[in-house]
Amino acid sequence: MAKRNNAGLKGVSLAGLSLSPIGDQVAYTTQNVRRASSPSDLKITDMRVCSVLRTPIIRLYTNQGLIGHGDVRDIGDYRYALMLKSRILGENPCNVEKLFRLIKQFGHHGRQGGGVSGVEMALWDLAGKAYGVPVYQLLGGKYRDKVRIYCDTTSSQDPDEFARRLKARVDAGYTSLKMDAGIGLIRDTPGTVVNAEFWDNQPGGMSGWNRIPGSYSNTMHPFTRVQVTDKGIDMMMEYLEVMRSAVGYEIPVGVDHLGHFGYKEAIKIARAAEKYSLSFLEDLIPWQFTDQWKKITDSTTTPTQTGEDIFLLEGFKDLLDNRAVNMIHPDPVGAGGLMETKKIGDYAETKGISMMLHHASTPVSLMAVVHAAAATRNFNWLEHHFVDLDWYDDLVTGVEKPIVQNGYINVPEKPGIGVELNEEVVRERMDRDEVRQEVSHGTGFFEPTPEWDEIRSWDRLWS
Amino acid sequence: MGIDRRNFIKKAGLGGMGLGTLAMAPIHTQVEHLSSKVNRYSAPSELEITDMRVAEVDGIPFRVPIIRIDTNQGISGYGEVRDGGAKEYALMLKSRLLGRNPCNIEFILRDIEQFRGEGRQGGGVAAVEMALWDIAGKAYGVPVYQMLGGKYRDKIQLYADTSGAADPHEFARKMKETRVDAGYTALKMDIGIELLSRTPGTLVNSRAHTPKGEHRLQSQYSGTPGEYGQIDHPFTRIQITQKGLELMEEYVRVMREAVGYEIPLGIDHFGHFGVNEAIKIARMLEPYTVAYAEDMVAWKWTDLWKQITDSTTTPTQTGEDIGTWDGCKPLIDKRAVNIIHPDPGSTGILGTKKIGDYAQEAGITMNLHFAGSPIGFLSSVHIAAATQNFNTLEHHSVGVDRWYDMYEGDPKMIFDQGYATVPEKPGLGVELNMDVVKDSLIEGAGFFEPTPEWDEIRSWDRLWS
Repeated sequence: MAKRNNAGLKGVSLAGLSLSPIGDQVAYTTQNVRRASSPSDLKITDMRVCSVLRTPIIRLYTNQGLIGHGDVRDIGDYRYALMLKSRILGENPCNVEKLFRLIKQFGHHGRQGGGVSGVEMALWDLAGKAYGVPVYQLLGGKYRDKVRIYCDTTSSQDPDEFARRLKARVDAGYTSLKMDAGIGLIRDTPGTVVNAEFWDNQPGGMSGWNRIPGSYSNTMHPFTRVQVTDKGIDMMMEYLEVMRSAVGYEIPVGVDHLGHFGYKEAIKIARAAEKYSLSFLEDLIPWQFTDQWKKITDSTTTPTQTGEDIFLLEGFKDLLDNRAVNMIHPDPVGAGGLMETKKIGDYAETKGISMMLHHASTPVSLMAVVHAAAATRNFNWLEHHFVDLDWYDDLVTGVEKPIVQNGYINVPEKPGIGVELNEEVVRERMDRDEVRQEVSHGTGFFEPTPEWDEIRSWDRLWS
Repeated sequence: MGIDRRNFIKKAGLGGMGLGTLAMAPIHTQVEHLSSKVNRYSAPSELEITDMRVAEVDGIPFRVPIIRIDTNQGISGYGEVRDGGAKEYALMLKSRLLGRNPCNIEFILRDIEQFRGEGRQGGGVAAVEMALWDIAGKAYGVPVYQMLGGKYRDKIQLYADTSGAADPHEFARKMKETRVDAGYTALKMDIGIELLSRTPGTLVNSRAHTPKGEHRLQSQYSGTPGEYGQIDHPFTRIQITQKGLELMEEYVRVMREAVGYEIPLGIDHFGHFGVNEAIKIARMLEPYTVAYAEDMVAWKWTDLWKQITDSTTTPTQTGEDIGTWDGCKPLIDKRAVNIIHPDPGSTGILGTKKIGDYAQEAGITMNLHFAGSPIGFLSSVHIAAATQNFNTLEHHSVGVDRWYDMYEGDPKMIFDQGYATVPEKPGLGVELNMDVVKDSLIEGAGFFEPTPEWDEIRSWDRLWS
């Protein structure tokens, strides 16, 4: 990596300069151009992976010593990124859009979008480093210097304890909250939920997180035929009542993970929750059902939001064109990366819809997303999923610590994304098979991946 | 396959018992007799998938990863990732299949559907689907077409793909001798504008797409990003002059002279140019009554296709790169083509039948694209048998001995006077000559080697929250 060779001129003033030879004048006027790299000759030479927090971090290597990082979003398969390696080896990473169009056929809704998105972020990181420019600048400049965070909060069946946890977030400086207050909290009380027993007797029971095909967890909301009784709704509202008494009404609070039931139950809950002025009800039903979302949204004054599993702007268009939700909530680490997230936001803006950002991956992509958030006008708040994990910030270097200060993240001014890995901490914390039996990762610490050099297929999608 | 075979043979022996004797026999003997035709190879409800392995072959004429799915009852099923696809598209699905009952085909498909992209990526899910049908058919002792609702026909009409020659007469002679005289009853010829590009004054803006130091337009099969082979039709801004059209017409005129007008003749691989050129060509072709002009623009440009189709009496056809039923829908809904042309190697067995049935409602015929191994060929034969508006199935391996050698069994099943015969054996009804498979493996590839590195699911697959 060539070092900047003209930094010594920085102290020269304009007055002194007018008498100096032309070479010095040129050197002076270009002294802020970084010469870390020769962008036009930059080439991708390798892609490697290391998994932390069930998130594969990918690293792109170049012929000029620059490396770029990105994430294959939370609980994504590192192979979603490695599948792309053979398609971008030897290419110039600065041609972000060109490479994005080559690889985007390998993304899909959900975690599969993480491969394309992770590579896209790493390309921006490289392009930024090559030109000495922060990524937000490459996206068109910034609308804000710090990005507002909303924090996810672990739930408790005891409303008072739940409220205490939320209050602790406020005390820590967060200015926007999210709580998970679904039917899971109330369903042990008889007379609150209809058709729960059927699901209790199925494999996986009413757990919302398992891989069992056909289980409650994997049955889309309209098809469970679970309903919530008035008694159940009253109990759910109790959590909101206690929460609002504890944190007051100034702070925005959203509610997520309500359970799997049809849109009519969603409408009942949304209407009951109106007096608590929630900032949003999230993922009430799957995003695929635009018409049902529109019915919910049009039936209540409680704002609605969805989108964390959608890939590409074209996946969002139906919801946006129909004004079926009040807020759109892409995860840039799955939606197609930073440029695509900005495109989603800009399109939503023309429909009068604001953009929240979902995030639950490593600090690498958290900081990458900050650039997209800074560069998109209708952005509201970015999710932080690891408030309680004390070593989260330690995974990276180069950024201000703590990463979140008074509920905001400062937009980095360094070239690229502006973070590097703290390799020592990453080595210590990286996922190991015996720890994570469910989603084990066999990548090691950025080990070579030559088996992905030659994966070839005829990629053209038309004839 | 051991468990019930002996039992089965014993029971099958009862098959000769006449009804007269039977009436006097004890009740369990009667039951045995009545169920003696039920195949007992397997206990379908207890079948479980235990493994997926690959043998990647080449030279038939294209590269094809053949997959094998194994079960706990000794039954295996075969599938293929279509021509030019990557074996990883199928292997990515292995962890999602292990332990599941392969007979629950639609249930499994819904869970892996998210891995079915357009183009070759669709080949992974399609390969798995072929193998699942093969297993389910073998488990129940039923041919695949029967599980799709039964058949409309016993013989499947093939159409022979034929690549071009620079000399129109040479091209026509080749067509006549190797296709028509061999018994094919439907033909396809490739006429690319590359053929014209050596004659000055035939094309506009071809120089921009001609490699340095050469005098011929770059091949439309070149894979280099950003070059002619990868530039979608409307964006090359290549145009065809009157002289070019006349030269192109010469190939068709000579061809029709040689093969006559009774035989359907389609034309494909024209090259990459916009909608207006496509219309000019389609109109030029009208007197030659071709069966269809194929892939004149990319399939996703529904409106452009409609414009072409509505401008000419030459039938239009596209679809071989579409991965999903959803992808075919706009073309059908808007009647943008006359013939839909999916490749079951992308759209799958069930998906392709659905496309055909949906197209039929819109008055659109279905031809099937095919360029893989005998596994994919027989899969397509079952779909063709079970779908009413099916017309012809492509055969891309005419004259490729290795392809025919790879098929084990009566050669008349796969080619009989221009037709393939619908198999009556359980499953896909195809066996491969494994010596030929081994001899055709690509360099460095194993022969159905273990694939433990694909055993674990490493992602959260739910597409909604």
